[in-house]
Amino acid sequence: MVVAIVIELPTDLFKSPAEAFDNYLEKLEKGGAKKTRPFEVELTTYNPIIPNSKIVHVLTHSEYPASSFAYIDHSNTQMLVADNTFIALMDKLKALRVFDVRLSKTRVRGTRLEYQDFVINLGTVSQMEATKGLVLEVAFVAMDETRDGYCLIQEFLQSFLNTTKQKIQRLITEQLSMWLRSLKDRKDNEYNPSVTLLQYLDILGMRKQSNG
Amino acid sequence: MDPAQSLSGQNRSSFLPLEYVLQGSIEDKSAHLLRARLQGLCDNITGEVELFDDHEIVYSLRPPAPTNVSLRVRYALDDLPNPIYHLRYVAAAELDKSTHVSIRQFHDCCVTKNIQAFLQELGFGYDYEFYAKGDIYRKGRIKITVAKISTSTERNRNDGNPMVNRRPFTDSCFVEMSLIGSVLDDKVGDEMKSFADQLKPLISLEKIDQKR
Repeated sequence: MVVAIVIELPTDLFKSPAEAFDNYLEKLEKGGAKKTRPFEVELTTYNPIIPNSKIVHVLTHSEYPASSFAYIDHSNTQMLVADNTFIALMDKLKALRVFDVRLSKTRVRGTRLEYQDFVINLGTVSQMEATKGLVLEVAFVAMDETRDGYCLIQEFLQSFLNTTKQKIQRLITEQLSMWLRSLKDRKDNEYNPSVTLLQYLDILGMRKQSNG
Repeated sequence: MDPAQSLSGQNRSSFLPLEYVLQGSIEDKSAHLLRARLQGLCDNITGEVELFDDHEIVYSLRPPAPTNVSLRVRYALDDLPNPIYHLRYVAAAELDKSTHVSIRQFHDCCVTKNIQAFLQELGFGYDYEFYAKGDIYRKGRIKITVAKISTSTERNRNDGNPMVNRRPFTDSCFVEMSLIGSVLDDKVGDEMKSFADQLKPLISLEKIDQKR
């Protein structure tokens, strides 16, 4: 298991997200990270046609190729983790006029790099050929204890992005902060990949949580 | 090809999974004769018959859904306390008088424990549930299950107590012969029919009759 943090990288200092991507990639490679393979995260949103139903977001991540992750808006349920065939099932429900896909898929495409015990995924967010930004996912593979893993990754990000701890904490998504806060009461701090995907959902701007 | 890429490629492939089905029933007191005959006719690698003990819960969409969609959640009671849940969608069988077997489309995937809460959030309501306990026999691609269907005396919502009181539904066992194939398999129907003929006169396996 891994502990991972997903953040949106600022691209204001560069002319375009593509240039920012190249710049960060070069920085990582110069620091010793090795390119392994392309990585992709895909998000499809299903809107309900029938009245009592809710919006469902289905994500796939190339790091977990045999799974798909589903999340319902405005609900307190955790993420549902299923086989790849779940997408075929959702498409079938779409064909049966239970759900509808109104927005096109949002994709994060980029490169996966490995640096010792870290797995770094750097990618550009795009929807319908329009590039929207840059996302960085840093995972520490050697442990699954959330708080310690989070501190370690934070140190790594500090040195890589050359910024202060406070700036990094501001970049961390709301979902991960809530997860960390909820762990104070619980004994088991085991991280799981659904939290990574929830962070992606936050960044891709789609998640709406229920109040309370 | 990189395994991650080939798996995510599979995700996008549009294969149409079809299930060829024949169903029948046999009285409890004659079920042992059927089992003996099946043990003789079918593939018998280990010498022992494979048993199963499953709990299936059916959820369906309440009106005003356009079609009557139902999804089945099934898990093995043998796997407690952490069973693997299967989510299955089966369409109504096609009414085709020329074929010997019923053909229906289906989608199957493995999901996590929170599938029941997930389906309820989506607007699916609990319909009914049952327990199926019996044996599985295989002959080539054909799978035959001989199961005793029972219901519980009280509604058991959590996967928990296997000692719940079970009441048999009828005095007979439910027998189903199925094969998974694609649209291009013409000979499948004949293959299944000829095998079903070998089981007569003990049991007569027929197409699914929607009216009954």
